Amino acid sequence: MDTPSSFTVMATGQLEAGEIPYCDNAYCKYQLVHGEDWQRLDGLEDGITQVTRQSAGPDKLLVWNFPLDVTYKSTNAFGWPQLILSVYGLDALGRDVVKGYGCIHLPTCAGRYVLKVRLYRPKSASTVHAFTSWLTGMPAEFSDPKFPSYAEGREVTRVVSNGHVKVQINIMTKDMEMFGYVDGSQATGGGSHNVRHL
Amino acid sequence: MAELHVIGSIVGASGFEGQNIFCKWGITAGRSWDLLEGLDKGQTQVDHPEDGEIAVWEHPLDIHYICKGLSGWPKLHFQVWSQDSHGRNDISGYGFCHIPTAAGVYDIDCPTWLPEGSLGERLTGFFVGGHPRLRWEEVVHSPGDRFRLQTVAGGMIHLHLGIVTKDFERHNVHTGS
Repeated sequence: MDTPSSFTVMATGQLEAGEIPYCDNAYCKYQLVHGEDWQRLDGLEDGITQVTRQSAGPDKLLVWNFPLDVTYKSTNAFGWPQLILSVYGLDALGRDVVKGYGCIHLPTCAGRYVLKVRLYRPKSASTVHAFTSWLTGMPAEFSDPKFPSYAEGREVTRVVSNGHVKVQINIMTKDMEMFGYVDGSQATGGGSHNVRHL
Repeated sequence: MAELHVIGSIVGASGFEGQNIFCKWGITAGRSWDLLEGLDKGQTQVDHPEDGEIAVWEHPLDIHYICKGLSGWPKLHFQVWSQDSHGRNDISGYGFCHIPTAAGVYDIDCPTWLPEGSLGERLTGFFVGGHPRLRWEEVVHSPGDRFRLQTVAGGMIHLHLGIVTKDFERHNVHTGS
């Protein structure tokens, strides 16, 4: 067999459900971003779920059950793909109102994960803006939808956290050992059920 | 030359007083370590959580180190600050944690502490505001010179880290993964 020129990471899973206080009708937009050394081989890097109404049960879930399936190749683990979520609700006038943003890295170790992506939304920058957004019912949004994935420039941002989205992800890697990489999946036996409890 | 990737996030914090909190973070490593790509220090957003909920920072980390020797394995250090309604910042906690040495995915809770100061300083802090701060911040992540400090417990910082190592096995270094 030839020596591979890149390693492959495959992620499958679903945007399972959201749990957001004071929100009974919402859809979720997802977007995957990655570093320069990464290239998408297959699957969609962005998508929008259906608009869902809260379940009647006691858990009040916003169920999306939306499939994620994407494959990347790369030569460098730096710039590992990040999943950005933005949740929008619909108000009485049918307008899209932002409920929260969230972002996580895809897990770096092969296996199955149930991740809790906590959501937050920006606060208005000024009192005047806060007043007009209260008046119109349109809260502040990030002008750059990729902002949640940036590590720089966050110190000037003030946010309010609210709710979370549950995401199921299965990670499979290929040829990482050939590049000398160890992801730790041997130690945990792979397929471990990692749940983020926070 | 082996390489280390730290990919994950500073998820947030719980147990801190103050409503608006943010975190200044950094990584220190020994002299045989070099930062190849990524940021090794930064500051998170300011979050205003609901009562009793954790503050959410979700600050992404993606750090690529190369090392010539193992001594001085990188560690993360934190300063948690709280912001009052006038925009004044006050220290709420110091803490550090080592980057795990074995590859894998980890949820890490990092405890924090705060210098308490003398009775006079505590009285001033109570009436005027403002906690005593460390003059030498290296104390947070180095073992020497801590025995004279009187401190009090702070909240907990939550991290989610993925560790990927490269070429450690080739140099016969076993990380246990």
